[in-house]
Amino acid sequence: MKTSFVQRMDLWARHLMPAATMLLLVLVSAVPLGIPGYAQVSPAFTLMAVFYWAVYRPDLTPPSVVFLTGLAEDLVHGFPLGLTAIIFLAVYGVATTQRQTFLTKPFFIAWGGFVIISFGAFLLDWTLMSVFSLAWIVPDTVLARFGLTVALFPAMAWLFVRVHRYLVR
Amino acid sequence: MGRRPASFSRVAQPVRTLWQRFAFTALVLAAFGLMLLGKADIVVVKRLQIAAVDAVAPILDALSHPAAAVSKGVETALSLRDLHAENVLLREENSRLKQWQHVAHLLESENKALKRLTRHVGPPPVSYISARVIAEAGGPFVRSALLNAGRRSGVRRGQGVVSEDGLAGTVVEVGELHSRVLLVTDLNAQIPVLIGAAREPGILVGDNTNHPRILYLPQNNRVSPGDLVISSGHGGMLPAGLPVGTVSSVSESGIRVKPVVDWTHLEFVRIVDYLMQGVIPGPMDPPPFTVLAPDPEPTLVERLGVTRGKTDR
Repeated sequence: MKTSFVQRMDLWARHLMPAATMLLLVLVSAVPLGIPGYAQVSPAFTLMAVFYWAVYRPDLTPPSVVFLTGLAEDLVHGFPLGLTAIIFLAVYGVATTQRQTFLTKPFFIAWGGFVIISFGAFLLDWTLMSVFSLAWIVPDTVLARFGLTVALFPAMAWLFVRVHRYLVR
Repeated sequence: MGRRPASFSRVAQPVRTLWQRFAFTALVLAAFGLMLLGKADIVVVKRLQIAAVDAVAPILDALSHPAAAVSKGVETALSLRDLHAENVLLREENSRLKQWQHVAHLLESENKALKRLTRHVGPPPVSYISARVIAEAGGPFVRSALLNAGRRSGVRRGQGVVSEDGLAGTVVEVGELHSRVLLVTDLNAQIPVLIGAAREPGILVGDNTNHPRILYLPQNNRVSPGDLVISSGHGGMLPAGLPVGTVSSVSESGIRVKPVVDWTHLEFVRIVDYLMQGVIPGPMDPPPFTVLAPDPEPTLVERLGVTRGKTDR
């Protein structure tokens, strides 16, 4: 069956949505909101997107896209180049191998999975950064950030589900 | 059938399968490689990095406007609530500050006279570049912010950045349209300061917490909580006398400082264009200035540059 040019463009645009949400969240997470203390503990929105799409649509988010998202995050936030790319690829790798456990189960199973995997991600992030800067980085803000990220995951997942529904429609 | 398409796919197919199989590993290795390259401070990597941020700077600039509007709105609503109490407080403070202003004027004229008497050579003239904070990275790992002024506006590496309260940080990275400020609380920030009335010299060293430490103080120093910490101007990087913070605690483990800058309301800042090149020029910096013009004596207000209140929108 032949599809028209417009249809193909439409499909193409829909398939770009997961990558677009990830890149958009990179920018959004850097915007100064003026909430007291927010900048110190701003949740890792992009990490949530990486996890969600790795579990539900890994076909639309190949590792190269995840890698580029990580690089973008490093550039915008001024982290050492490649650091977040490593973290995102690690989360993506674990999430894609475990996705069968989350797919047909209720949402809180996926949430539990996210808690475990993101804890590993924050731990890796903290270790790499400490080694990179050869200094002991006080882990309290890392923990606060982890807590906030985990707590906000359902809200963001709700948003991703909307995008996801738009994709398959 | 022609031969060429067949031969092309014959060449491309193994490459594609190879990529599909090893993409993940290759990308992880690439990320590690980039980290090492970044650590080695290679100019090409740095240049690419700055160009990439330059490209997204206009988007971040656009995004920061509505965010600022929302936070302004919330603030207005909150301030409406306790308008009356605040008004009373401000009246009191205003009358107190009027006395202080009188004292400052007296001291300034006296200071000027004394300097004239001793033929004191003042600091070089200072001008300011106003900029807007378009992104901030205040995570546990980095304390920095992006500004929407870059080389085109005259920003150079090493310049100090002040908010209306005092020193916020120094410029570490300059693109055409943006610059990155390393805040005084960052792990890599080190600022030469003077502490208290005794003007004890030390170095303010950040550690990614909200309260940076003071290191390299002279022995038998007389530092106590509440002492004012100002920039010393040593090293020729920053003008002397910018307020940096107040000593918040003195203990066995060290001296901690509470920065004067209100990080929550860091929306507009000014970059201090100090005509001295205290930073060792990197490979990407323009040649340093060699001429220091004889300066007109700046007034106290101009020199501190922080007492004028909020920058206009």
